[in-house]
Amino acid sequence: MASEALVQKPVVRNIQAPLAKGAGAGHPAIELSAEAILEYVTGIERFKKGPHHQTFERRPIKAGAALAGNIPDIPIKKFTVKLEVHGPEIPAEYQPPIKTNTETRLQTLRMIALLSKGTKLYKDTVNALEEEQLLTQGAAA
Amino acid sequence: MAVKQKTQQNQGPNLKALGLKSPMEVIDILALLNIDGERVVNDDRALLDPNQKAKAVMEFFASRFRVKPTDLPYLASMIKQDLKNGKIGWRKR
Repeated sequence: MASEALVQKPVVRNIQAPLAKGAGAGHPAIELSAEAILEYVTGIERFKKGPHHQTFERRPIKAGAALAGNIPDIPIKKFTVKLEVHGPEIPAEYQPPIKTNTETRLQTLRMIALLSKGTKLYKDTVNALEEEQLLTQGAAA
Repeated sequence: MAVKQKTQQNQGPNLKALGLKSPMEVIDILALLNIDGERVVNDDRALLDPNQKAKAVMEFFASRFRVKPTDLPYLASMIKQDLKNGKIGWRKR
């Protein structure tokens, strides 16, 4: 008798409910028909051309806002135009003289000295100018 | 920097502009789909492993609907937009 009772005792199995139902059971899902998916697939090309993929917002400019000074941020497309002029070469006598770096530096210092007369900067500029002139003279010698 | 930006552009569409946070969100949205009672990801292990999940999603859409992997973000974006707008809804499995 005792052995029969043991046989009839139900066997408890540890079955996890979500796995018993299948993958992803218990989680929310998006129910769609194959036709709906096909509609989405055909709409991909249209979607690509639409404004969704653009990173900036397009906002219309209102006359009132512009007048009030509240001009919205409008994306400006920057572009460069390459101009090519075809014609005879400019003779050397009409071309501007090519200046060396030292000449340019001296000229700049002279300009600063002229403009900064009577200020603190003037003395420093004159000193720098003298040093530069000495250096150039040394290099020439 | 400019080179880096170029390579990113070549890799696919701008996810932020599509309203998606990450490439995995594309896979997550598409993996949630239940098309005519059939799940996109059938394997339990694939649901847990992101690489397998992505592979399963890509294979499903390539074989069933002939959607290229580069077009999947657009599909996910459209579905997400419709979900937000309430055109399609969630359903408890």
